[in-house]
Amino acid sequence: MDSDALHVSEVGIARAIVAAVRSVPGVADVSPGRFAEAATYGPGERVRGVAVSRSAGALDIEVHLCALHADSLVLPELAARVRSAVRQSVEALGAGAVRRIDVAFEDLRVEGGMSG
Amino acid sequence: MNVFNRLLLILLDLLLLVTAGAVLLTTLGVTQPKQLAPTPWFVDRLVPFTQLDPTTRGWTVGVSIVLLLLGLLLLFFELRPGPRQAPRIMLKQDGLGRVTMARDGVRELADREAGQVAGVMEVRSHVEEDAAGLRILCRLSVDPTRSVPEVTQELQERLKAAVEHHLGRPVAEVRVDAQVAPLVSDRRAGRRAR
Repeated sequence: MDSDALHVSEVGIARAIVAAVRSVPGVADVSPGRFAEAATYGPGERVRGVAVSRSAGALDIEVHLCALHADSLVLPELAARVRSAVRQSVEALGAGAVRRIDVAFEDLRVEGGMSG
Repeated sequence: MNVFNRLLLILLDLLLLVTAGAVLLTTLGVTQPKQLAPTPWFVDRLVPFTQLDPTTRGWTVGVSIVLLLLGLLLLFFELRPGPRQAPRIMLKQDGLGRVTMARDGVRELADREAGQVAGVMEVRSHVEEDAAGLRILCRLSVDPTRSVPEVTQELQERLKAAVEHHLGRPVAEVRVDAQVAPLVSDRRAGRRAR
Protein backbone atom coordinates (compact mmCIF):
# COMPACT_ATOMS: atom_id res chain seq x y z
CA MET A 1 0.00 0.00 0.00
CA ASP A 2 1.19 3.53 -0.75
CA SER A 3 2.22 5.12 2.54
CA ASP A 4 0.78 8.49 1.37
CA ALA A 5 -2.66 6.85 1.36
CA LEU A 6 -2.68 6.95 5.15
CA HIS A 7 -2.70 10.76 5.13
CA VAL A 8 -5.99 11.09 3.25
CA SER A 9 -8.97 10.84 5.54
CA GLU A 10 -12.18 9.05 4.56
CA VAL A 11 -14.02 12.38 4.74
CA GLY A 12 -11.50 13.98 2.38
CA ILE A 13 -11.94 11.09 -0.05
CA ALA A 14 -15.73 11.36 0.22
CA ARG A 15 -15.63 15.10 -0.55
CA ALA A 16 -13.55 14.46 -3.66
CA ILE A 17 -15.89 11.67 -4.76
CA VAL A 18 -18.98 13.88 -4.34
CA ALA A 19 -17.40 16.53 -6.57
CA ALA A 20 -16.41 13.92 -9.15
CA VAL A 21 -19.83 12.26 -9.20
CA ARG A 22 -21.64 15.59 -9.57
CA SER A 23 -19.58 16.34 -12.66
CA VAL A 24 -20.67 13.16 -14.46
CA PRO A 25 -23.22 13.93 -17.22
CA GLY A 26 -26.54 12.33 -16.36
CA VAL A 27 -26.10 12.67 -12.59
CA ALA A 28 -28.54 15.09 -10.94
CA ASP A 29 -26.89 14.97 -7.53
CA VAL A 30 -25.71 12.67 -4.80
CA SER A 31 -28.46 11.54 -2.45
CA PRO A 32 -28.35 10.68 1.23
CA GLY A 33 -30.63 7.68 0.68
CA ARG A 34 -34.32 7.10 1.27
CA PHE A 35 -34.36 5.59 4.77
CA ALA A 36 -30.96 4.85 6.26
CA GLU A 37 -28.60 7.74 5.60
CA ALA A 38 -25.53 7.00 3.52
CA ALA A 39 -22.71 9.27 4.68
CA THR A 40 -19.07 9.47 5.68
CA TYR A 41 -18.41 10.85 9.13
CA GLY A 42 -15.37 12.73 10.32
CA PRO A 43 -14.55 15.01 13.24
CA GLY A 44 -17.32 17.62 13.16
CA GLU A 45 -18.14 16.86 9.56
CA ARG A 46 -20.49 14.65 7.58
CA VAL A 47 -20.44 14.05 3.83
CA ARG A 48 -23.86 12.83 2.75
CA GLY A 49 -24.46 10.52 -0.19
CA VAL A 50 -21.08 8.78 -0.17
CA ALA A 51 -19.96 6.19 2.35
CA VAL A 52 -16.22 5.53 2.39
CA SER A 53 -14.64 2.89 4.58
CA ARG A 54 -11.19 1.41 4.62
CA SER A 55 -10.29 -2.11 5.60
CA ALA A 56 -7.05 -4.01 5.06
CA GLY A 57 -5.67 -0.98 3.23
CA ALA A 58 -8.32 -0.95 0.51
CA LEU A 59 -11.28 1.36 0.08
CA ASP A 60 -14.92 0.31 -0.04
CA ILE A 61 -17.06 3.07 -1.52
CA GLU A 62 -20.82 3.37 -1.71
CA VAL A 63 -22.31 6.16 -3.82
CA HIS A 64 -25.99 7.08 -3.58
CA LEU A 65 -27.30 9.37 -6.29
CA CYS A 66 -30.21 10.70 -8.31
CA ALA A 67 -29.98 10.42 -12.07
CA LEU A 68 -31.40 12.84 -14.58
CA HIS A 69 -34.33 11.29 -16.41
CA ALA A 70 -33.82 11.36 -20.17
CA ASP A 71 -34.81 9.06 -23.01
CA SER A 72 -31.18 8.16 -23.53
CA LEU A 73 -30.61 7.25 -19.89
CA VAL A 74 -29.31 3.71 -19.31
CA LEU A 75 -28.56 3.28 -15.64
CA PRO A 76 -25.89 0.52 -15.88
CA GLU A 77 -23.98 2.69 -18.36
CA LEU A 78 -24.29 5.72 -16.10
CA ALA A 79 -23.08 3.58 -13.19
CA ALA A 80 -19.99 2.64 -15.22
CA ARG A 81 -19.23 6.34 -15.83
CA VAL A 82 -19.76 7.10 -12.13
CA ARG A 83 -17.41 4.29 -11.12
CA SER A 84 -14.80 5.56 -13.54
CA ALA A 85 -15.08 9.09 -12.12
CA VAL A 86 -14.84 7.77 -8.56
CA ARG A 87 -11.77 5.70 -9.35
CA GLN A 88 -10.06 8.67 -11.04
CA SER A 89 -10.77 10.99 -8.12
CA VAL A 90 -9.38 8.48 -5.61
CA GLU A 91 -6.29 7.91 -7.75
CA ALA A 92 -5.78 11.68 -8.07
CA LEU A 93 -5.77 11.94 -4.28
CA GLY A 94 -3.36 9.04 -3.95
CA ALA A 95 -5.73 7.63 -1.38
CA GLY A 96 -4.93 3.98 -2.00
CA ALA A 97 -6.46 1.00 -3.76
CA VAL A 98 -10.19 0.77 -4.40
CA ARG A 99 -11.69 -2.63 -3.72
CA ARG A 100 -15.38 -1.97 -4.19
CA ILE A 101 -17.62 0.75 -5.65
CA ASP A 102 -21.33 0.19 -5.10
CA VAL A 103 -23.62 2.54 -6.99
CA ALA A 104 -27.12 3.01 -5.64
CA PHE A 105 -29.64 5.03 -7.63
CA GLU A 106 -32.31 6.49 -5.40
CA ASP A 107 -34.56 8.05 -8.01
CA LEU A 108 -34.70 9.77 -11.38
CA ARG A 109 -35.07 13.52 -11.52
CA VAL A 110 -36.78 15.28 -14.38
CA GLU A 111 -34.71 18.24 -15.50
CA GLY A 112 -36.37 21.47 -14.41
CA GLY A 113 -38.85 19.55 -12.25
CA MET A 114 -39.15 17.91 -8.89
CA SER A 115 -37.50 14.59 -8.10
CA GLY A 116 -39.47 11.38 -8.22
CA MET B 1 -20.31 5.49 16.54
CA ASN B 2 -17.79 2.80 15.68
CA VAL B 3 -18.02 -0.80 16.83
CA PHE B 4 -15.40 -0.48 19.59
CA ASN B 5 -17.14 2.52 21.16
CA ARG B 6 -20.48 0.78 20.96
CA LEU B 7 -19.16 -2.39 22.59
CA LEU B 8 -17.50 -0.32 25.32
CA LEU B 9 -20.74 1.53 25.98
CA ILE B 10 -22.70 -1.73 26.16
CA LEU B 11 -20.13 -3.19 28.57
CA LEU B 12 -20.29 -0.12 30.84
CA ASP B 13 -24.07 -0.19 30.68
CA LEU B 14 -24.15 -3.86 31.74
CA LEU B 15 -21.81 -2.98 34.61
CA LEU B 16 -24.19 -0.21 35.66
CA LEU B 17 -27.17 -2.59 35.51
CA VAL B 18 -25.41 -5.27 37.58
CA THR B 19 -24.22 -2.75 40.18
CA ALA B 20 -27.55 -0.99 40.50
CA GLY B 21 -29.35 -4.36 40.67
CA ALA B 22 -27.00 -5.69 43.35
CA VAL B 23 -27.35 -2.53 45.46
CA LEU B 24 -31.14 -2.59 45.10
CA LEU B 25 -31.46 -6.27 46.06
CA THR B 26 -29.10 -5.82 49.00
CA THR B 27 -30.81 -2.66 50.24
CA LEU B 28 -34.23 -4.28 50.06
CA GLY B 29 -32.90 -7.33 51.90
CA VAL B 30 -33.89 -9.69 49.11
CA THR B 31 -30.44 -11.27 49.08
CA GLN B 32 -27.35 -11.21 51.25
CA PRO B 33 -24.12 -9.61 49.94
CA LYS B 34 -22.35 -12.98 50.12
CA GLN B 35 -24.89 -14.48 47.73
CA LEU B 36 -24.36 -11.73 45.13
CA ALA B 37 -20.70 -10.79 45.33
CA PRO B 38 -18.07 -13.07 43.74
CA THR B 39 -15.19 -11.93 45.99
CA PRO B 40 -14.77 -10.55 49.52
CA TRP B 41 -13.88 -7.15 48.06
CA PHE B 42 -17.35 -6.87 46.51
CA VAL B 43 -18.97 -8.18 49.72
CA ASP B 44 -17.30 -5.37 51.64
CA ARG B 45 -18.73 -2.83 49.15
CA LEU B 46 -22.28 -4.20 49.53
CA VAL B 47 -22.42 -4.76 53.30
CA PRO B 48 -22.95 -1.02 54.12
CA PHE B 49 -26.23 -1.15 52.17
CA THR B 50 -27.63 -3.63 54.70
CA GLN B 51 -27.20 -1.13 57.53
CA LEU B 52 -28.84 2.02 56.16
CA ASP B 53 -31.24 4.22 58.12
CA PRO B 54 -34.78 4.42 56.67
CA THR B 55 -34.25 7.78 54.90
CA THR B 56 -30.99 6.78 53.24
CA ARG B 57 -32.50 3.41 52.39
CA GLY B 58 -35.41 5.11 50.61
CA TRP B 59 -33.04 7.30 48.62
CA THR B 60 -30.81 4.34 47.76
CA VAL B 61 -33.75 2.30 46.49
CA GLY B 62 -35.03 5.25 44.44
CA VAL B 63 -31.66 6.05 42.88
CA SER B 64 -31.01 2.35 42.13
CA ILE B 65 -34.37 2.01 40.37
CA VAL B 66 -33.71 5.16 38.31
CA LEU B 67 -30.25 3.89 37.34
CA LEU B 68 -31.69 0.48 36.43
CA LEU B 69 -34.30 2.09 34.19
CA LEU B 70 -31.74 4.38 32.56
CA GLY B 71 -29.43 1.41 32.00
CA LEU B 72 -32.19 -0.63 30.42
CA LEU B 73 -33.17 2.30 28.20
CA LEU B 74 -29.58 2.78 27.07
CA LEU B 75 -29.22 -0.94 26.39
CA PHE B 76 -32.41 -0.87 24.31
CA PHE B 77 -31.16 2.01 22.17
CA GLU B 78 -27.75 0.43 21.71
CA LEU B 79 -29.04 -3.01 20.75
CA ARG B 80 -32.00 -2.11 18.57
CA PRO B 81 -31.45 -2.65 14.84
CA GLY B 82 -30.43 0.34 12.72
CA PRO B 83 -32.66 2.08 10.21
CA ARG B 84 -34.10 -0.23 7.58
CA GLN B 85 -32.55 -0.06 4.14
CA ALA B 86 -34.91 0.82 1.33
CA PRO B 87 -35.83 -2.24 -0.76
CA ARG B 88 -33.62 -2.22 -3.85
CA ILE B 89 -33.66 -3.73 -7.31
CA MET B 90 -30.35 -5.21 -8.45
CA LEU B 91 -29.32 -3.85 -11.85
CA LYS B 92 -25.85 -5.33 -12.05
CA GLN B 93 -23.32 -7.16 -9.92
CA ASP B 94 -19.70 -7.63 -10.87
CA GLY B 95 -16.25 -7.82 -9.34
CA LEU B 96 -16.31 -4.12 -8.45
CA GLY B 97 -19.58 -4.25 -6.53
CA ARG B 98 -23.29 -3.78 -7.04
CA VAL B 99 -25.41 -1.36 -9.01
CA THR B 100 -28.89 -1.04 -7.55
CA MET B 101 -31.92 1.17 -7.70
CA ALA B 102 -34.40 1.86 -4.93
CA ARG B 103 -37.64 0.02 -5.61
CA ASP B 104 -39.54 3.24 -4.98
CA GLY B 105 -37.43 4.87 -7.69
CA VAL B 106 -38.47 2.16 -10.17
CA ARG B 107 -42.07 2.59 -9.09
CA GLU B 108 -41.85 6.34 -9.69
CA LEU B 109 -40.32 5.71 -13.11
CA ALA B 110 -43.21 3.37 -13.95
CA ASP B 111 -45.72 5.97 -12.74
CA ARG B 112 -44.07 8.66 -14.84
CA GLU B 113 -43.98 6.53 -17.99
CA ALA B 114 -47.57 5.40 -17.49
CA GLY B 115 -48.62 9.01 -17.05
CA GLN B 116 -47.30 9.77 -20.55
CA VAL B 117 -49.83 7.42 -22.16
CA ALA B 118 -52.80 9.30 -23.63
CA GLY B 119 -55.99 8.54 -21.72
CA VAL B 120 -54.29 7.69 -18.40
CA MET B 121 -55.61 10.07 -15.77
CA GLU B 122 -54.10 8.61 -12.63
CA VAL B 123 -51.73 5.74 -11.95
CA ARG B 124 -50.26 3.85 -9.02
CA SER B 125 -47.61 1.24 -9.66
CA HIS B 126 -46.08 -1.53 -7.64
CA VAL B 127 -42.85 -3.29 -8.58
CA GLU B 128 -41.72 -6.79 -7.63
CA GLU B 129 -38.64 -8.75 -8.62
CA ASP B 130 -38.16 -12.47 -9.12
CA ALA B 131 -35.92 -14.82 -11.08
CA ALA B 132 -37.78 -14.09 -14.34
CA GLY B 133 -37.29 -10.33 -14.01
CA LEU B 134 -39.37 -7.40 -12.88
CA ARG B 135 -43.11 -7.60 -12.43
CA ILE B 136 -45.02 -4.32 -12.53
CA LEU B 137 -48.57 -3.92 -11.37
CA CYS B 138 -50.27 -0.70 -12.48
CA ARG B 139 -53.58 0.49 -11.15
CA LEU B 140 -54.88 3.26 -13.32
CA SER B 141 -57.80 5.50 -13.89
CA VAL B 142 -58.63 5.87 -17.59
CA ASP B 143 -60.37 8.71 -19.40
CA PRO B 144 -63.94 7.42 -19.98
CA THR B 145 -63.87 8.64 -23.59
CA ARG B 146 -60.94 6.32 -24.39
CA SER B 147 -60.87 2.61 -25.09
CA VAL B 148 -59.61 0.86 -21.98
CA PRO B 149 -58.10 -2.14 -23.87
CA GLU B 150 -56.21 0.21 -26.21
CA VAL B 151 -54.91 2.35 -23.36
CA THR B 152 -53.81 -0.66 -21.33
CA GLN B 153 -52.08 -2.29 -24.30
CA GLU B 154 -50.16 0.90 -25.10
CA LEU B 155 -49.25 1.29 -21.46
CA GLN B 156 -47.97 -2.29 -21.18
CA GLU B 157 -45.79 -1.88 -24.27
CA ARG B 158 -44.47 1.52 -23.20
CA LEU B 159 -43.74 0.48 -19.64
CA LYS B 160 -41.94 -2.70 -20.63
CA ALA B 161 -39.80 -0.90 -23.23
CA ALA B 162 -38.97 2.05 -20.97
CA VAL B 163 -38.09 0.06 -17.87
CA GLU B 164 -36.00 -2.46 -19.81
CA HIS B 165 -34.17 0.37 -21.59
CA HIS B 166 -33.46 2.48 -18.50
CA LEU B 167 -32.70 -0.32 -16.03
CA GLY B 168 -31.23 -2.96 -18.33
CA ARG B 169 -33.33 -5.63 -16.63
CA PRO B 170 -36.00 -7.79 -18.31
CA VAL B 171 -39.61 -7.05 -17.45
CA ALA B 172 -41.41 -10.37 -17.06
CA GLU B 173 -44.90 -8.95 -16.68
CA VAL B 174 -46.81 -5.69 -16.72
CA ARG B 175 -50.19 -6.25 -15.14
CA VAL B 176 -52.76 -3.51 -15.49
CA ASP B 177 -55.74 -2.94 -13.27
CA ALA B 178 -57.77 -0.26 -15.06
CA GLN B 179 -60.93 1.58 -14.16
CA VAL B 180 -62.73 4.65 -15.41
CA ALA B 181 -63.47 5.98 -11.94
CA PRO B 182 -60.81 7.84 -9.93
CA LEU B 183 -58.49 5.53 -7.98
CA VAL B 184 -59.56 4.72 -4.46
CA SER B 185 -58.16 2.26 -1.97
CA ASP B 186 -61.10 -0.13 -2.55
CA ARG B 187 -59.77 -2.56 -5.17
CA ARG B 188 -63.29 -3.90 -5.91
CA ALA B 189 -63.95 -0.68 -7.86
CA GLY B 190 -61.28 -1.64 -10.42
CA ARG B 191 -61.54 -3.54 -13.69
CA ARG B 192 -58.65 -5.70 -14.72
CA ALA B 193 -57.44 -5.90 -18.29
CA ARG B 194 -54.54 -8.09 -19.42
